[in-house]
Amino acid sequence: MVPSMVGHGEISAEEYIASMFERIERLDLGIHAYLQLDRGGALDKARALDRRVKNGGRLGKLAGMGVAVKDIICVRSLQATCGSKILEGFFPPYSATAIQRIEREDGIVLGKTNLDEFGMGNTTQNSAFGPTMNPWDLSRVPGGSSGGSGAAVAAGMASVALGSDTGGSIRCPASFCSVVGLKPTYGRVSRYGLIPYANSLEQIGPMGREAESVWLLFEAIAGHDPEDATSSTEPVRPLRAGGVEGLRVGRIKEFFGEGAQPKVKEKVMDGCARLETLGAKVGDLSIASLPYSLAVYYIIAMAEASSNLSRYDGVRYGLSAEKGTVDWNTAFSRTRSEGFGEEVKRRILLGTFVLSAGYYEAYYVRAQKVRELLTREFTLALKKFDVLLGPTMPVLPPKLGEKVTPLEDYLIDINTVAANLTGLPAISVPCGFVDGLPVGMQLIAPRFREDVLLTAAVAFGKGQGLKSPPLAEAA
Amino acid sequence: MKAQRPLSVDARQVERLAELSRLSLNPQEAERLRGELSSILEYFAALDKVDVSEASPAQDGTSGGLRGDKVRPSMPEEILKGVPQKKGRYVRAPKVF
Repeated sequence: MVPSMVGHGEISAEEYIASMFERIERLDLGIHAYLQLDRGGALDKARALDRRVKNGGRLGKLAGMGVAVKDIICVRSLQATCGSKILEGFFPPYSATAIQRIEREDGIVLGKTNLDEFGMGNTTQNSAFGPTMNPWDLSRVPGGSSGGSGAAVAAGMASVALGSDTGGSIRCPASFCSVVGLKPTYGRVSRYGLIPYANSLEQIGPMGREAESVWLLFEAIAGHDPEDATSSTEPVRPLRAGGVEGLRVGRIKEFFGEGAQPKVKEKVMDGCARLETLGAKVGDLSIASLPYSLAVYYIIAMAEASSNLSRYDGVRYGLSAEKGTVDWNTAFSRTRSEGFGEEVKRRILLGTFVLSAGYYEAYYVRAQKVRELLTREFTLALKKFDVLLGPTMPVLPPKLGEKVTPLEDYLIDINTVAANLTGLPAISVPCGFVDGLPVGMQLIAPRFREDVLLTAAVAFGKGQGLKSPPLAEAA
Repeated sequence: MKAQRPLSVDARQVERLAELSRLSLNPQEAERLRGELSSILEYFAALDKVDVSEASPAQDGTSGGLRGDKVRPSMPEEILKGVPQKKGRYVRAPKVF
């Protein structure tokens, strides 16, 4: 692994980080994973690290790792866009707690990656700066909303990456790009410096090609932070020494429903069988309210989005479309109409609707009640099983530019949103290929049991060999 | 309470929502959104089938505690650097009245 190579002087951090930028230069023209690179800053940090190695100084756990950061997480002095025009010219004056912790462990930020505007989407096509291509097939989407981070890691343009996950935004691109992606338990990682879309649902989380590096990054960023009152003091437990031996795995019937492509389901059933041969005990279960989770998710996420995004007024930072002498509301509305993309406008309008007088009880409050029922069902299921399993995405990566209605687009999030609504940790691990396209397997664990997920991911990945996209192998 | 749940929105409602959301929509945009919003709301109506009589709205109890309310150094100069229009150290905003 990279950090030990750097620590033992086999390769200098500078050489390693420089080679990563060379790779980005060769590959990213065709993939468009990055929105912004920080070559100068990254190489400065690498050289400082090399001096420390030479002087026998202490090295952090992420020493020399090149980290790609989803451009919704603030890094001091790098522009933050959220994939939107509305934040034009915004340079955050501070770094997110997750970034501060990565840098404390000597991880090196390489740059900021592409995303669906404000995290709203599952293809990365909703970026104001153009789409990202899937490294496994450039005519297809990498998933979203952390599509840039997924593609960067898959193509070897970063050692690991940070994404954020509000309804599947780490797990979806992990599945479509054949990498490991973890959405931690709600409250596990500080959200300080994560530009908000839906506060009660989202978490920052790690992505990487191997489960081991995802665990390293997770351990570095997890933990309580006084700057985020919802962050927890619950300690992180170590990985289980016995692997998946005796692990009780529950297959959720609804995750293998009619909407899922048969070949995807088959692959995940194969993955499940593999867990069994590794010593896990597999059973089946049903979660009755799961089919309602998507409606619950979109009502709550849109409601929170409409409130969160009201901060973009064109006065204090970002785009200001109106320099004339018009009144406040006209100026405000013009800036927002020019700055926000289609999907963001749709969600703000619907969020405003479900929160408006007369409809609040029927939509928002009802959705929060069903959310409670769903949480109860998951809590019960996780008394019988250690982890719950299903396909991460019910479909293979769609073609870029495929015409679908907004609702059809939302429907492919059906297996990922429940973990956000319930706050449970969930992971997507590579689970083979169908017609050359990646399939991901999702595991969900009890609150604060990321150790169980990563234990399973490490065991599952062993002996599978790391496959690279053909274009990345050639590079 | 069983509130009346509309299965579609009309042009007037879209206009009102846009006004509340501080978005100005052109006529084509408004018409497209009317259709899209209606089909999404129809999908949301599926929740009517769930018996929620036993459920209270979800609340997240996670908290590592609140930090003390103490005065700390801030970064006004850096924040002011990002302001689109200003006059000296004042933020310039459109007229309210």
